[in-house]
Amino acid sequence: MVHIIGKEKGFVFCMDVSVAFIIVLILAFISLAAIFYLVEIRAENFKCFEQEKNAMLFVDSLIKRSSDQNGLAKVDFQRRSVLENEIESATLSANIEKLEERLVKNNVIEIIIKGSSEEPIFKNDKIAKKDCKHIISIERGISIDGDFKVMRVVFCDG
Amino acid sequence: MEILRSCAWCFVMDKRAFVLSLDATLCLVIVAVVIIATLISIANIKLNQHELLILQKEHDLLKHWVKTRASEDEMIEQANALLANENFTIEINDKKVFSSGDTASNKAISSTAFIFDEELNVKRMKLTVFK
Repeated sequence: MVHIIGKEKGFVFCMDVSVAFIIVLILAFISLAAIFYLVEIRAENFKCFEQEKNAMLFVDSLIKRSSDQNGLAKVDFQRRSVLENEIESATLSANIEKLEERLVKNNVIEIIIKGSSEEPIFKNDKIAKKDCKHIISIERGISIDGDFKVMRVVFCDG
Repeated sequence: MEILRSCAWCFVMDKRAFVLSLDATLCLVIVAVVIIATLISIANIKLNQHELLILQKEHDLLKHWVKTRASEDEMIEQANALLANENFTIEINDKKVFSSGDTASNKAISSTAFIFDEELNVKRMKLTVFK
């Protein structure tokens, strides 16, 4: 395929090698473009994954930590333990108010207790839902005064 | 014809055309398919926390059921509220008491809890969410 001409110094590439080389170059160029595109998609995907993970951890700590430790869970003072997933309705509003700064800092748009009325118990006036590129909604089961309720925490991402 | 057999790409002088032999064509097609399939599969891999969230929801339900010693009706109502868009089953002492949606899948996330009543009889509650 590759020849050396005796008197003239140089390589002569025959047509099949040239065509193969051009095809390989085109394939390499397409692959490179595809790899760049994929890296971008993966980075975006990974970013979303991380944000979803943070949102889940935040909601988890919210219902597992006691109200005096940046959470909403009830404390059993007799047993000196935190009653995870149990929330007292009487102190809920006060606890949410206390946590407002943290909720805003963590891009929480609203917290809703699903049931008869779906009025949010927390609403972030600084962020509008329509301005968010991506919305993460986490639903967890909690017990409010012994009744099972579904709590939905909505986060704004981007 | 001898030239055609010996090389992948040949320039046939008199006909002014490139001739790709059958094996070269096959080789190119296979390489292209492999590259495209790999790229598509990589692009479609989406990381998410859905499984972990399902597990957390199962634990939320089981915790509440253990604390309140919930009845079967309450269990079904509460599971339907929290796992609204999921296919799931509730089993008590290995007996299926409720089933929602398609539960034939092999992929499932399951959690189990035990309740002891006043006479120390054990009640085994199993909640399984299917993919």
